[in-house]
Amino acid sequence: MLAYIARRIIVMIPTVLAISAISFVIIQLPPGDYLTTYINELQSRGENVDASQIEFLRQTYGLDKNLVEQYFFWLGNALRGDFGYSFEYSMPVTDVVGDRMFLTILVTFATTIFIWLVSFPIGIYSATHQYSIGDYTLTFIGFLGLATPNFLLALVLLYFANVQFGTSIGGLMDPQYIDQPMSWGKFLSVLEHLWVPVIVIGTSGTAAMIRRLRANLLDELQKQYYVTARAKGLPARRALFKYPLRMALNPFIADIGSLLPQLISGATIVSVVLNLPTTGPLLLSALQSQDMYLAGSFVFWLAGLTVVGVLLSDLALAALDPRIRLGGGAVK
Amino acid sequence: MTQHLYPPGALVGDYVRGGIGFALMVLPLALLELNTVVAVVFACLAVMFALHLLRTVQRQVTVVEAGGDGIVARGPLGTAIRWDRLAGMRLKYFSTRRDRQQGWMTLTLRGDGRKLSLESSLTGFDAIAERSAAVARTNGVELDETTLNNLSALGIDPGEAANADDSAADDDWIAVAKAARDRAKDGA
Repeated sequence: MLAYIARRIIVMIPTVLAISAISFVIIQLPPGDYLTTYINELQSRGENVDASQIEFLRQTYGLDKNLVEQYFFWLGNALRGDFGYSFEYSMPVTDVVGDRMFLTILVTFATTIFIWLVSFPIGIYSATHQYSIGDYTLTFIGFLGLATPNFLLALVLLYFANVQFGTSIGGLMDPQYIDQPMSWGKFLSVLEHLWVPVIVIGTSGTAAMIRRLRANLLDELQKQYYVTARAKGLPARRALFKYPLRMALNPFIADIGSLLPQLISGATIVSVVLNLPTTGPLLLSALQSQDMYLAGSFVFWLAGLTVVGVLLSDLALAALDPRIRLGGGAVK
Repeated sequence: MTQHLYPPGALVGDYVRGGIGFALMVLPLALLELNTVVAVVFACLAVMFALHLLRTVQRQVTVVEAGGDGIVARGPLGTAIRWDRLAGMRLKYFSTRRDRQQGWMTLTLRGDGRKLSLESSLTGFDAIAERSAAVARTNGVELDETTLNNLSALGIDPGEAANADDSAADDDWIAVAKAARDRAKDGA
């Protein structure tokens, strides 16, 4: 396993560097930079622009350097924990992200648990009761979940939560707790607001997971080893849990790979609609305003977390199911 | 008695990967004032790559001998397992590629509280795996589904190996199926 981890991580390092470099170039592709945008904004409002001050800022943040130098300047600082300065918020990137990261992790974690808890039993039921009324009903609900736009469901649930439970519109807590230190009341307020984004974000994920689990499990249930086991009299539940279900669980494990990047970018539009204090809207705003260090940091984290997520799921799959696949070949 | 070695050519890749990985982790630690969290991650990875390098060196100087009594790995951290004491066997397949091609196998044998791991780059690996599977069958060692599948990929009859399950796990479906097949054969 040590050899596998070492080889896997060696593959990962150039991938992270390549993705971050490409992302940095993409961010730089639009003409001008944040300072240019800032100057245009001031000029459109009829305000004076101090050319020497702009030049000073340009030199301080290395905007006068070429692209390669800017990239390595930014990457070197990132390893020191300094992700640069957000021009839009006039503060360090790490301070801008701040508490939003914790709340984003909370929403993502709760959503993932919701998706697994709902899709796991439904997926098993649909596969083991294929073409039954229950299967058709759950499949219909699943497709409904896939087809309903998240932002629309968000608006409906916001209205429902406000009318039925008196929950304040938008956000992840009542207004009086915003920017306040964590307390029991704030925690309860977060819990009170959490279910709306969890259901909204989780609905499409749940529907997709149900379909994948159902399809995978149906594949396994057709295989000879399961048919033989049932034919020899092994009880259905024992035969199901012994092997087919384990094999069908691979998508759940593989899903870890896409889970981590969602911590940063997941459900940006829903977060905007629900006014959630998560990192998604911050990323969107940074990209719109060409706040290059903030946007660059987000893209770098996205790339890093994607690769780390895939690494974790690969390690879990290698530990749980180290089988050779038909058509694959071991080399000496 | 047969002798088996890891050919140096097969270990070059591991040396290169371990060296590059170690350098990439140690150089930033030495040259930059890293953030604490980043430094801890880099240090852990540096240790892991160092262990990988040491493990590669260990494999290069190890000579594996398989005989009628057992299997012996002579070299640093060497060990020996008598065939009649073989109590566990696992054959795993790993690949870092998306299509799961060009991977390698790891055979882990257990017995008398000792563990011996061999990689498929070892000369005569298939023969050792076949011999181990036969001994496991004789000793009544239960082989898991993964091992059976990987043995089959090596051209070793997993059905024969699975017979070992009969005595060890009579509630398992494989055992149920095999016992039924044997009864049918006897009847015929």
